[in-house]
Amino acid sequence: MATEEAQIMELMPFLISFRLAFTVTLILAAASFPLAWLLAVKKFALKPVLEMLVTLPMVLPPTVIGFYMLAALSPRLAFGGALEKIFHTQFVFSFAGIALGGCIHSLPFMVQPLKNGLQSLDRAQAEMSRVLGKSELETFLKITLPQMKPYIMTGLLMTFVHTIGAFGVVLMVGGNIPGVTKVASIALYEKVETMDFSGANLYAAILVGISLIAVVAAQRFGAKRGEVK
Amino acid sequence: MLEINVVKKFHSDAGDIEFRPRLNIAAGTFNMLFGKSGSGKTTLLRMIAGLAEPDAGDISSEGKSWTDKGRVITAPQDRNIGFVSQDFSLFGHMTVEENVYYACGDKKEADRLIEASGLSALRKKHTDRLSGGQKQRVAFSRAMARKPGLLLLDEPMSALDGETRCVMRTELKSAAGRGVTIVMVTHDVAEIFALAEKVFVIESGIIAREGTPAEIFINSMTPNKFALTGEVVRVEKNGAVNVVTVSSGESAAEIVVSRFEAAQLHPGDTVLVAAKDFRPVLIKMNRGGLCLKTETRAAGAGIMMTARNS
Repeated sequence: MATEEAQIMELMPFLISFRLAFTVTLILAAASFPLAWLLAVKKFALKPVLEMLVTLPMVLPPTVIGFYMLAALSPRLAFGGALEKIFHTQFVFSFAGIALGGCIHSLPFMVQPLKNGLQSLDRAQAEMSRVLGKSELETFLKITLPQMKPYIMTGLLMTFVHTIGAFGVVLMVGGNIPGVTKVASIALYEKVETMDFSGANLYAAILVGISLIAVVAAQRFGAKRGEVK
Repeated sequence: MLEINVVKKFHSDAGDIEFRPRLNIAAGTFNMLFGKSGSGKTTLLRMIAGLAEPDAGDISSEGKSWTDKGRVITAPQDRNIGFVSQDFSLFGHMTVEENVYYACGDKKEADRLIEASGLSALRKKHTDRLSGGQKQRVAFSRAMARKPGLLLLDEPMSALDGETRCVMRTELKSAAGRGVTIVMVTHDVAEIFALAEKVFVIESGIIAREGTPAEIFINSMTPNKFALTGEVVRVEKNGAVNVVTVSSGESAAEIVVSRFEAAQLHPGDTVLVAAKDFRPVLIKMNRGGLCLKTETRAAGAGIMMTARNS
């Protein structure tokens, strides 16, 4: 019985990592489209600032993002307090907190492919659909989205795999709470710290396997140069 | 009646242009827009389709306003038009039948159009794998699938070989015969003579001239000596004389020929026309441009009228 429980606890960091990756990927899939559309299509004065903010998580050390998020989400401060009141949940040292941190951390990995996809669209096809009597919604669903498919796949895969490997942000915002915020990458770090190298090897190999699968899938289904017509 | 009176500023290879087209297009007629590259022909088609907004002015069809004071008030999807663009804009992720079905939403009608266009063997093929001629046929079938009242064509035959061009001409004539109003952009005078009832010539940002092909391209400013290689676009009996109309580039000529010569010539034939002291020579050539054996000399009346460069 104790062995079974121990095995479950060994697997738990992977389950949390997967749950986190799915949650972040789903949230970003919905939230990034308008943002990518603004950056790809619209012209406005603050566009360079927005572009910089979206790219920033890609270059900032994750611990820096985590530190500022930890400060911002603190229930003692106005923003964190307001969030807790609205969502009736604690964000610091919780799954909700690491999901929010993961969204900020992985934002460019979803927005950038979608932006590239929107910029490479053949607008003449959408125009032709309108001339053929179709509404803007039908045109978006039947003409624009299929053209965007490789870019959407790239965004989904890159976001998923990037979140699976998240370490700094998760550690800062979520701590290392077993069964709640202890993800696979943190568990791996813990294994090394406690000199459990065979366990560390296993965790690392699994993470490498997941990343390889994502890279192969991105090559198979993702955007390739000149693919979209 | 389609009434157009708009202003649109745009940039082309010819520089910044203030385009002020003003034209009326009668319902059920075949009209051609003729002009140099960058003169605004495509822009005009796009404004009629509702894909480009004029800076000012109105477009109305049968009394219903499509564009009012430069603002699109009837969306493209509500105009009942068919549009074949220069690059065809086919949906590359769809097959031939899906492209046509998308336009009409009626499986039987899509099947009928595919059959009529000779595309049955290609119906399951994705359109990005078709040749230029095949793409053009799909684009035309798709445009006709909505049973449009107005058909807009932007140089649809520019990338086609001679045979496919002939098929396309026949299909366009048949559409015009069914009462569809057609507005087509072209650079080809032979196409104009073969199809158009009315030509609008765009020059310096305005409709500089309008009229029948003969009114636009043929006049009596006949140089004494000239030579041109062109395509026979019309062979007709005009009273007691037989007249052959030959187009070449942006010019055309009408030549009086004998009954025997008229019987030998057909639309689509390539000929060499030369005149010296009002004694025209008309030599039939093959489609590759090589001279064949026949050399005829029109007797008597000689050249009635010839073209001037437009």
